Amino acid sequence: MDQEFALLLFKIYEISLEVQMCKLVFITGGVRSGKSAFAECYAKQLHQQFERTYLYYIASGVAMDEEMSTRIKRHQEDRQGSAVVWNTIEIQADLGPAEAISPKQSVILWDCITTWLSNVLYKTEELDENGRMVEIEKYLGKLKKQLIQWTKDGGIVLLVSNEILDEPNSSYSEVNVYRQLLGELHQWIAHYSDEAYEMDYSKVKRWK
Amino acid sequence: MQIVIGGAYNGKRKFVKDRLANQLSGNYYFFEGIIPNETKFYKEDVIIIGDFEKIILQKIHLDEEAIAEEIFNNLYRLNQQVQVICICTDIGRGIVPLLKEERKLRDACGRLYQKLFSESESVVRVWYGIPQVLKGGGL
Repeated sequence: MDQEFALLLFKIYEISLEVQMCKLVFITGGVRSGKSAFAECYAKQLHQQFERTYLYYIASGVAMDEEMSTRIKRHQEDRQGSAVVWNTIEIQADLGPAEAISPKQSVILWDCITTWLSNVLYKTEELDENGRMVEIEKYLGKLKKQLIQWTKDGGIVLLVSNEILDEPNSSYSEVNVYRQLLGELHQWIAHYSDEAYEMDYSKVKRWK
Repeated sequence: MQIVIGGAYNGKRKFVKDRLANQLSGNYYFFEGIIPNETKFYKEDVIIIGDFEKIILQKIHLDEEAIAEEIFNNLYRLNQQVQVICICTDIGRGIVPLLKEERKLRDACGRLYQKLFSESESVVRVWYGIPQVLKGGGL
């Protein structure tokens, strides 16, 4: 989905008419549902509307093969083509790089949480089962703390994630662990978010 | 009969528990993967049934329509004795499964859910803990 179409969606769903400041926005959708374009468009709009100095893009994708490189490149080109300047920060699993952000002057777009969580799973792969769950919970705890801190400090945060829970349980236990962790994280985000959208190809469903 | 539908790990059971905690005079009982015998309960009790995938797999040798019909009839009978809430995990929106049995499970699930939706008085979709009433007055 291109930017123009995303803008059209904004008009149809009257999202831009809502002037009140939202702090945490949650956006999900299936693959190629246009969620990134929608989120970028919305982030830019909030950046302008609330006269923020910085527009941050948090990328979590790790280019492990050519397909992923191409995907990352396409997203980068989309952002370069826009009139506003994006500051890109890479967060693979550790949240250290997030310290560079001053939330009060910023709009922060994180695309996407799904990738971040899979990085956490890869990173903890070598540990034994119990130790691994403890470590994963630590990462999740830090993430939640960071998100709450950002919004407390006046940041406007947009989180993008994937819909992967509407299909049968996998025959791989690793996949089911991932699905459960992601589902529970999504529940947490949906609870704390001020706005929540689900993209379903040509339509946007606003849940909150 | 009432239906709560949503993807896996979306907080469907938690939603039902929270709702029932505020409004129930009898007891509520959760059943996963089985439809209980109706004689054991009082009229004001609520029976919540989840894991229809497992119930379907026990009848996977039958054809799709027969599976849905049989399960639906059992639920219908039970619902005449006690209040029934079905927790339906949506498994129909992913990639077509490679194995024949998994495809059949998914198809039978869809058939059953269609029947349940059309015959029940309320349907609520739960998306990460947020409810949306699709039919009737909600839970």
